[in-house]
Amino acid sequence: MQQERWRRVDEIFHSVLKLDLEKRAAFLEQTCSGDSDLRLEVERLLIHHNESDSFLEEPALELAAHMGRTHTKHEAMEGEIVSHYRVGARLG
Amino acid sequence: MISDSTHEITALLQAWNRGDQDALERLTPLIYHELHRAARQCMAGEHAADTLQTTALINELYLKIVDLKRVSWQNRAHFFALCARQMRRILTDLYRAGVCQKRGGKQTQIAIDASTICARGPRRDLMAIDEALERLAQIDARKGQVAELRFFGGLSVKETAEVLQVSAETVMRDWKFSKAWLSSELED
Repeated sequence: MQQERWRRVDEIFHSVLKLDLEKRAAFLEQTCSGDSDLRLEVERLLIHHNESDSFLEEPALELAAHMGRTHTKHEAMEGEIVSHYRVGARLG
Repeated sequence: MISDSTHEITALLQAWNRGDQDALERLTPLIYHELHRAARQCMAGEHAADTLQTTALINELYLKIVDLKRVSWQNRAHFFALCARQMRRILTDLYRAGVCQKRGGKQTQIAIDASTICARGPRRDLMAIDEALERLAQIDARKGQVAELRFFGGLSVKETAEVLQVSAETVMRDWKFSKAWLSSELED
């Protein structure tokens, strides 16, 4: 992605987040002024922003260590979702 | 008690801080080795669950191997950045090996299938995150750094700001955007 484009997306993304929900659509309409690709880009990121509250908030090592401990606390069944991971076949 | 390795690592850290890239090359495997051991212990459950914190681990290592009288804050920032990077390498190396060991006597190996999808569909395993993070860094170096420091180094917003010498607000902005972007990348 072009640097200038990237900068714009970043700028608009943060500007939108500062607005009340009901003001956002109009703001996007205005700011993206006809560039539907730009608008879609920002909207997509905003959707993912809403869905990513806990995403990456727990550091990688802690995440990995949890998986080990969870298996200790109760036997993870095959197919069970542990944190973000589905347990594959038990090897041992 | 200051050991020989402490002298060496301190000297390397200082040299690196002065711009000596060769020092970095020699420092990296030493840090990798130390963190790798700590990480394996953590994943084997040999660390109290509630107190495990990546930054505490890095700080512990820092205190253990660096001669504090001779290092500056810049050394510390560089050290933490280096550790975050090494932790990333260590964990991806371990995940490539596909092994997560269970605590206790019986060494049951549970295969973490690197291609396994998480509950909600998008491929959010560590390798996918690592790859997406690499792409992010290519486009925007600072956002890549923020994400690496926070996710792999476990640094707080404030600590990240100190390392990168930017404001906490800048870190927060970069972090919010990076999370959204990485999340959208993992959906594809």
